[in-house]
Amino acid sequence: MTNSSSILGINARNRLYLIYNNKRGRKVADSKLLTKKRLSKAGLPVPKVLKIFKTPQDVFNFDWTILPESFVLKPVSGFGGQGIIIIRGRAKYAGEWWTMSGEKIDISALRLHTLDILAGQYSLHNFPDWAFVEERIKIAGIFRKYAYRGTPDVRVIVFNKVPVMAMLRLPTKESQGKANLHQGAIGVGIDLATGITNHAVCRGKFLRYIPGTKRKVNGIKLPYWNTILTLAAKAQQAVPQLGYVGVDIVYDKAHGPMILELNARPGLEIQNANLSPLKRRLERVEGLEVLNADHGVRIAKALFAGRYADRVMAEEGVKIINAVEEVGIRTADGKRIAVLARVDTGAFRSSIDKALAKQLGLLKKENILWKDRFAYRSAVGVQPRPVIGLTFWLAGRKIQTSASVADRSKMKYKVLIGRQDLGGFLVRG
Amino acid sequence: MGYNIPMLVNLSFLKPLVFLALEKGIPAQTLSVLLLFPLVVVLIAAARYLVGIKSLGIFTPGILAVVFLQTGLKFGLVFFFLVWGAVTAGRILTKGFHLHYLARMSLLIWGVSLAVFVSLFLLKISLFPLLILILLGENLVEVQISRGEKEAISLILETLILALVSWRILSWEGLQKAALSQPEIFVLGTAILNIFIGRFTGLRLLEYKRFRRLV
Repeated sequence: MTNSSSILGINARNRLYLIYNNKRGRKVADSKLLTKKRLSKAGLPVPKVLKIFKTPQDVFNFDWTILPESFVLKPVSGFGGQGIIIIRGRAKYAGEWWTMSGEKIDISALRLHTLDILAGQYSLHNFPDWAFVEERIKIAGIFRKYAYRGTPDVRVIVFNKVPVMAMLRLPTKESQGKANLHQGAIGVGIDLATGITNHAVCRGKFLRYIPGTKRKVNGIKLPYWNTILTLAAKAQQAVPQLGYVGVDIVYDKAHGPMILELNARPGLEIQNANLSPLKRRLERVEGLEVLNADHGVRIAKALFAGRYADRVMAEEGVKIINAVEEVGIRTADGKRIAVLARVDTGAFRSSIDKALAKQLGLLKKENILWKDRFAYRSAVGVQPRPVIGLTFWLAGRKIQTSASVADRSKMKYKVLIGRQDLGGFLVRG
Repeated sequence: MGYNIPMLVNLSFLKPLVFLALEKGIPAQTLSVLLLFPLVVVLIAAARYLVGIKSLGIFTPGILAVVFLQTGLKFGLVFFFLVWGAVTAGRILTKGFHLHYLARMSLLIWGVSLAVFVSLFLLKISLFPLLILILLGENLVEVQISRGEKEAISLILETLILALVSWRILSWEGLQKAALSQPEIFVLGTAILNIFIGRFTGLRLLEYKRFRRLV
């Protein structure tokens, strides 16, 4: 189904998609202040700027004590989350604060850091830069249990007004409260249609649980999902010079979703977070006539609904399954065993491998419905097969049925699901 | 040779120049390095775009290879690690000073200069490789300060590996001779190779590993 040509590599991103971002667009994305200006002009919510430092004079003349309890000091043209200091709260004495990474910092250290920013330590090519202080996003309740301090955000990649892929970025201890995957944050894939998380990756490793907790990474339903997708699409509409852009959206406790920044060269790890290749999605969206942001969101939901969209589909009575699906089979003693099954609409009745059936205790006398009574026409000619009772779970549905027992020892999949048991499912080709 | 067969003339447009240069007394090694350098840099580009090996730009590994060629591999490596060590030590020592970025950079290069000065007692080298080594110091400082520690180390090691491969190519006698006798093939071949690499949009070799779960 997927092959290497549907994965977006650095070469393809740079040569095929970043060409949609022209110089003016990149300038907007590379300056966090310009981004804010453009977005608020379009009526989109952004965190407030409290102070801008353009010259060293600004730094020395500024009365740091007027800042609120918590704030963020950032370079205007920083990249990869570098050079950002997040202040969590005031320390005991005036002019001292606690940073997100748990260190105490005083005015002179803040001043020095600001001067470093101005000197260009954190800017691209070390060009002189500006610094600014921004209000800190208050972490929304749902994420408090998932993120290590810092503020999680949602990265949505938007192409041609259509959100094509999204991930939740959770800060970790290693990333020191920052949501950048390069700094060690966790990327959690999100199904575009439902806003439910699916897979997760951190530093190239795939995770099932959030480190240090027993919380599964999948199945988290993100609040305001529609708003997030629409905001992302609108952000790209507000800066049309960026055709292919990563939009970072944060949840503020009081104000809801807000756009934090735009990224003109969004990273590729989002594919690992979603376990889904990006290039094919981009190809499907390229050149589509998209009327506006809402239209783009509707297209995204229709085109890129993943397996987790099934839950929503189920309410309408249709589930989409793949040609090969993992099913849970109930054994004789009531346990559930996961087996890969071939979904075959060409077969009428489901069938199971003899050895597997025996192993699961399904060949007991009381479970056999018919013994060698039916002759089956199959690819290998007419064979008599026993038929047994079988209970299994397919894509979250419990199915009680009868299945024929066959020698499938030479087949790749030991279980075959026939069309008798596929009512209410759509099989993806 | 008539005017109506310009192809033949074009095909050996460099060889006469090479002969002329040799006649004028330009050392054969200088010429071969000059002719092989495009090959070295195209390989560095290939390492980036086809394999996915990043390095400190294209210039650093290439020029480092030339330094190795001048000093010999053994001393070249000694110098390289000396500069790296000086930079790393300097960075750790100045950590608590809270210095301005450029001042700190300048101080580290100060350390590199001293280290190179001391190393002059090991081997007498000319000004050119010396300057390159100091320049290398700046590169190493920059990557160590701007990137994370781990990333910096892997970048520097990858640079070193590419420099070693480049050095091997530059010092390969058979290749030197081939470059001198068939300069056109090398010059045109590397240009064509560059265009191919520059247009490549497939996955890099290391990306197959990175995205192995997706394939």
